[in-house]
Amino acid sequence: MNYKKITTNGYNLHMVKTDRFKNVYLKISLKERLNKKNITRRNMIVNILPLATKENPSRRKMEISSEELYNVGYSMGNVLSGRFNIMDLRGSFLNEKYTEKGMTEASLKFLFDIILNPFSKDGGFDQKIFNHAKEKLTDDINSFKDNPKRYAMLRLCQLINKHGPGSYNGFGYLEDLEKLDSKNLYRYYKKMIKDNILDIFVVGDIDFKEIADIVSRLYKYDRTPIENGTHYITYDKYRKKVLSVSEESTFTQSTLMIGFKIEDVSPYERQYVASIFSYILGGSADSRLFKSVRENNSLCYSIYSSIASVSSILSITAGIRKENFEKAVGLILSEVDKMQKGEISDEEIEQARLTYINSLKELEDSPSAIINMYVSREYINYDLLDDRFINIDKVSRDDIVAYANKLHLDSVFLLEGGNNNEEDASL
Amino acid sequence: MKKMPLYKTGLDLYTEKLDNGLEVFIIPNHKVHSVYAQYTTKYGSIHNKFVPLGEKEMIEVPKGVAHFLEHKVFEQEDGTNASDFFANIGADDNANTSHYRTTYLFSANEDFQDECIEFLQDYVEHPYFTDKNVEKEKGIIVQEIEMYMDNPGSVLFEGLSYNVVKEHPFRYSIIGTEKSVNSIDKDILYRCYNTFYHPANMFITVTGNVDPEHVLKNIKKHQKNRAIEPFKDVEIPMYDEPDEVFKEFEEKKMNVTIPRLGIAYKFNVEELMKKYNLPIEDVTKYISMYFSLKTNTTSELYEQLENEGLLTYSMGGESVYLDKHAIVYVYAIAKDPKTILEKVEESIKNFDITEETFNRYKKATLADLIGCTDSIYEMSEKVLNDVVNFSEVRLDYIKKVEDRKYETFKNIANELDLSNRSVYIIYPEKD
Repeated sequence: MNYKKITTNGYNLHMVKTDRFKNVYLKISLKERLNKKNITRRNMIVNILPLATKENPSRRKMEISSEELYNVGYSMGNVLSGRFNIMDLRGSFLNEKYTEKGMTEASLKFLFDIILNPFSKDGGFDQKIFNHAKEKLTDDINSFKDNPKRYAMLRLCQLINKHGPGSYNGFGYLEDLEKLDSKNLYRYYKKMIKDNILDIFVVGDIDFKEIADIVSRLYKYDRTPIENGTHYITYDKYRKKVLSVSEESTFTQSTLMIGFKIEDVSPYERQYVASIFSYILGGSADSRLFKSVRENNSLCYSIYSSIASVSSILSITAGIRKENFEKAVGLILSEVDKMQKGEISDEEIEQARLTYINSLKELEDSPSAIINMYVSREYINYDLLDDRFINIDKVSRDDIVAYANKLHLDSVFLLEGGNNNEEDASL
Repeated sequence: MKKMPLYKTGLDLYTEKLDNGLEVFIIPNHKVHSVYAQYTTKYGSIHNKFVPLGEKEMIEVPKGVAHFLEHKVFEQEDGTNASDFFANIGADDNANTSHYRTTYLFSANEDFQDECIEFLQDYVEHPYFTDKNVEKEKGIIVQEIEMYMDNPGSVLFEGLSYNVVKEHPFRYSIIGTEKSVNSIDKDILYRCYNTFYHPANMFITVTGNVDPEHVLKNIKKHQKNRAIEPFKDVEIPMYDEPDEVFKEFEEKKMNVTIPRLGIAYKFNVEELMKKYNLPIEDVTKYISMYFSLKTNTTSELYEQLENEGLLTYSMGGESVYLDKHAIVYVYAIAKDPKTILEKVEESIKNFDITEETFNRYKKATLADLIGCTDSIYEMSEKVLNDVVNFSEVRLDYIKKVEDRKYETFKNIANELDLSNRSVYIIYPEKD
């Protein structure tokens, strides 16, 4: 695997050459410091851009063109990453050697057009497209609560962070959506293209010179990228008394969320120790939580822990029956407590380490894992593959226990279900 | 061991049938660092009426046994779980049950392939069910059932299947119901296990960075030591599925914000199969293509619905087939499901797909299939589905797509009898 980075004209082009894939993969990332009002704007843009470009001014034309280009795949998304907001375009296309000459440039042009040449009219987005995107985003925001685990996670984050970037809903806000129109949104889009930090990633059996050449021809833009900053949200105050909140819902099953604030730990702890800890606690069917809450007590089907590194939160999620709430919480906290006291076996540690190492060995097999590695190096200064192998080997029991004791239990949230009449599960 | 190239993929299939009836399928891929294996039994949720091995009378077991069995196979006699072994070497493992098969799988680093393949066979071949461990699983599976009850996609598919199919057990939920699950005991599990988990009813698929000779040698060594009863194909009832649906319309309220529409069409394809000299899977593919082209994002219908503000979300679909019927499912997430239903039905009646469109869709499908050959997971699934459906791996699947004819497509689409269909709508609880 060969990597080359070119910094030019206000963007970074990251290229990875590998002969493993029949497809070529593209990611274009635009990031800016998280501003609550812009979440909704960016979600609208992400709903609008893939629908139409100057050359293909309708969804149908876009889809037909993509099929004609041997099924170029494309999608966009906007995510919150701690103190930043990252908009992505992801694309893929079959390597030209399997289709026909000229397809590499044609496919890249199709993809770049999505970001650079939207279908606009009179200084704004096309009104019909704008209206459609607005309706879709309205539906999305209203449906946020339809997924119990997603909703419960947001509520937990809001309990932990009353205000500020940790408390925002990544789907956006209806009150902000109301204030948008096709012209003021287009103005924001123009500004965003100019000042967001831009990184382009291309992975596949590519020629560096050819790709750099094509990109420089496609991307001619005046850019004034804004200053960078840290993605990390960190804490220095912790609750003395756990905040426990429950909310009724009409779901069948209850969702239990337990959240811990994580102290401002070192890069080594963030990247390595945290993973090992979370894996042992609740990262597999062999984990402490799985064994205790599911296998030994039959209280749930699904239970896991997860660390949001940039937000410095460790969360534990479980799908339970509401009458088992106290028992489940007790069992979960007991497992965390044991780890804090050092009750961790060597087998558990080695198993977690081995899992991490195996995923490193397989990283080069996955285009998205390759891209994510370079994204995390670029954005949060994570190590590359060679250093990851070296550092994961260093993680010791003392490291894990020290990390465990940097967790501060903050909030418990229960999204109560089972409030309807119990019906026999259909048939 | 036979070695056969898979047309246009750059990959080879190696296969052999062992003395005890077990079949092995291997597709090596030396570009990756991992190995993926699936150990499958041709036993799924539909097999709840059968003649047990060595017996004469047909029995019926509660719904959800195949899935329950899948959970319990992981249980080891020493009280540990089969997953522990894989976790200890950093491998991923899982299992899943569908209508026609149950499969146990792992994905591991290439360095651990030997022990993982060995252990995979070992734990699947050594069941250990006790009254206590069976009882314990009930609570877990009931929680799983409740999780699916909150999932509108799941509810829609299951609701439609139950209503569009009348006799065939495909209509029942794979996981069973709380009641049926609670009535399962270890004797039922053993009876089903002993009948269906016979090597002659099973096969192993291995993909990834492997040497086929080496893998086969190890599997043969392991399988040689097993004491095996003679096997004959398990007798299951012939289900005389009628053309008409069980129930034409159903509504349900759930915790959703936007309604969900599902339509399932049932087609008797016997005549079409004879007329065009095509097996059922190919006729189904042509029908499914038609529905796709009529409702996907490249269709006029989709554009119209979007422009009229009726569809802000998505439309999708899938297809299956039973003995002589093809079933096509169409889904939409939309505010006015009844109008969408009307418009879809109207549109389907009118064949207006050009040869240009047909060829473009074919081109895109072929590009997709070529791209998938990179994935050891996709290739494994392809082998698995072929063996379950056809008892052999179709080497020329890409050629089959290349050879699809517009004339045949047009004729089949024009001859569809759209009168047997079932509709299911999920509405939000609050109005």
